[in-house]
Amino acid sequence: MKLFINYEFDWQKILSGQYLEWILQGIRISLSLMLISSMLASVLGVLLTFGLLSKHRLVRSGSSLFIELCRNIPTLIWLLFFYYVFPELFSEPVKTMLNSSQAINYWAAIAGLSISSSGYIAEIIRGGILGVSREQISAAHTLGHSQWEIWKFIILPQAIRICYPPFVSRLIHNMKNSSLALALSVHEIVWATQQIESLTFRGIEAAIIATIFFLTINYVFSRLALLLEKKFLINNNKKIKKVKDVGGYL
Amino acid sequence: MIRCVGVVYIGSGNNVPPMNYIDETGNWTGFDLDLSAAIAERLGVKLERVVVNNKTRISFLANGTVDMVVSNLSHTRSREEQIDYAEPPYLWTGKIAYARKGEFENLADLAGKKIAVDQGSNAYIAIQQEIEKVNGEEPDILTFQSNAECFLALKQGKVDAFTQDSVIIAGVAGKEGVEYEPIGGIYSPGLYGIGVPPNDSKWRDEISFILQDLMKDGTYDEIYDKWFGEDGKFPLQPCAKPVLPKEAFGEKQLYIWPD
Repeated sequence: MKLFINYEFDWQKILSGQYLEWILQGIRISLSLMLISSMLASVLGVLLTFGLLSKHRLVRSGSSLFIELCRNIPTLIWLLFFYYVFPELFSEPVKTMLNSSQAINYWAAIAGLSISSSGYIAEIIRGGILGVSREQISAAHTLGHSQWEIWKFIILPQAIRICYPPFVSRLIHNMKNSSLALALSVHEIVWATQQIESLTFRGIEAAIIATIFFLTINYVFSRLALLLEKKFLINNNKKIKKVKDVGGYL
Repeated sequence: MIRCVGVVYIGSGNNVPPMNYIDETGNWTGFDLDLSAAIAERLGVKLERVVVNNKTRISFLANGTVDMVVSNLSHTRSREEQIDYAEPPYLWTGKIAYARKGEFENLADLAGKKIAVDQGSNAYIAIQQEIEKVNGEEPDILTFQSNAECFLALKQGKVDAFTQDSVIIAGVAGKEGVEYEPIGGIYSPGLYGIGVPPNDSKWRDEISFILQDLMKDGTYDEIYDKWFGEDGKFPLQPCAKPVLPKEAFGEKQLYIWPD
């Protein structure tokens, strides 16, 4: 095997006409996959956390089972499940409607990505909530604060601070996972680069474009997240201090 | 490269029955595998197999990861610009569009319909050109990562048709093929060839000579009969050997360079 690749780059070819169109369309679709699935995963994750903390045993164990399914099945399998298996669970008119729908691949990808990430997010949030010291909460109870006040002033500010960094990491992970949608013929950026490679054999250029795209998006996102963290979560910190001052005991 | 290390790296796919696939017992097998094993034996060096897919088989040749590719590789102009081919091609094939029985009559009916192709197959371009010829509306082409997924999408009604080389469709559809039929006839004829790295004519000749030796001494026919002969695993009708015209040279004469 040759270890050194003697390769001449040809950017002209892949950055014009149909190929450029595919790349631009790919960027658009990738961004929408990332945005929608991250939002859905976050909402679902929060709901699952509430389920985990519920008073009812059935809701608790149901949520925990669901989270295990979300986390322990590979994301690609989730995507393939929603694309190939999910429609088969319905009987005739619905089944055909789903199967022949133009956008089933896009929404199957969204569903798979969201479900897969939601389990992690729920666990991250639960970790944040459990990370708040029990003594603080007991103390607040003793001082006669209501449940709502305890959540608002004690648990949430600290829990958010604890789970924010892993939550951002998970979203970045989810954004990278969006490339799995190419298996369902969703024309996202990696699909575009694969398609360009198979027609022009300019695989290295195509891969470089996808790499730059993911690097940029995820770098910008993580920088923004860090800015937000510095701006808001440190303020929250001060708020906790204020509560401490007022309470005197916390 | 082969000279210094005593190993030949041959790239083949593993999900294109009957050319190259994993069988029920988990063996990597197929016509391409048998043919390349015979070539490696003649070369007298150790055979190291490399898995390629439709998207990597050309770039692996171009960047020297493999010494040759025997993987249902049709000879096309765009590929010829990147790599070279050993001579002669070893199988002819044509593409068919496959759909549920009775739904379509000819390729023109597929205008504007959803069609599955295996990503990386030149069927992607071929079917569009075919429909363009009859001025049909551009079809919506869905690309999948394997031929089996294309067929599954067809079965579930996610696409209206699946187009690929006829021999591959026969291999993928297998027994389930009874509910489906080719629409119209074969289009976009092609020849499978052995891909070799570009600009290495010595190596290309070496492979060409060996391939022709195999054709001359009957090894090729043996492999062909095992897979596509009347009693083979996937009988092909008509015969897919790239033969010279019967009227001039008699039955099933392959083209071999004279000495």
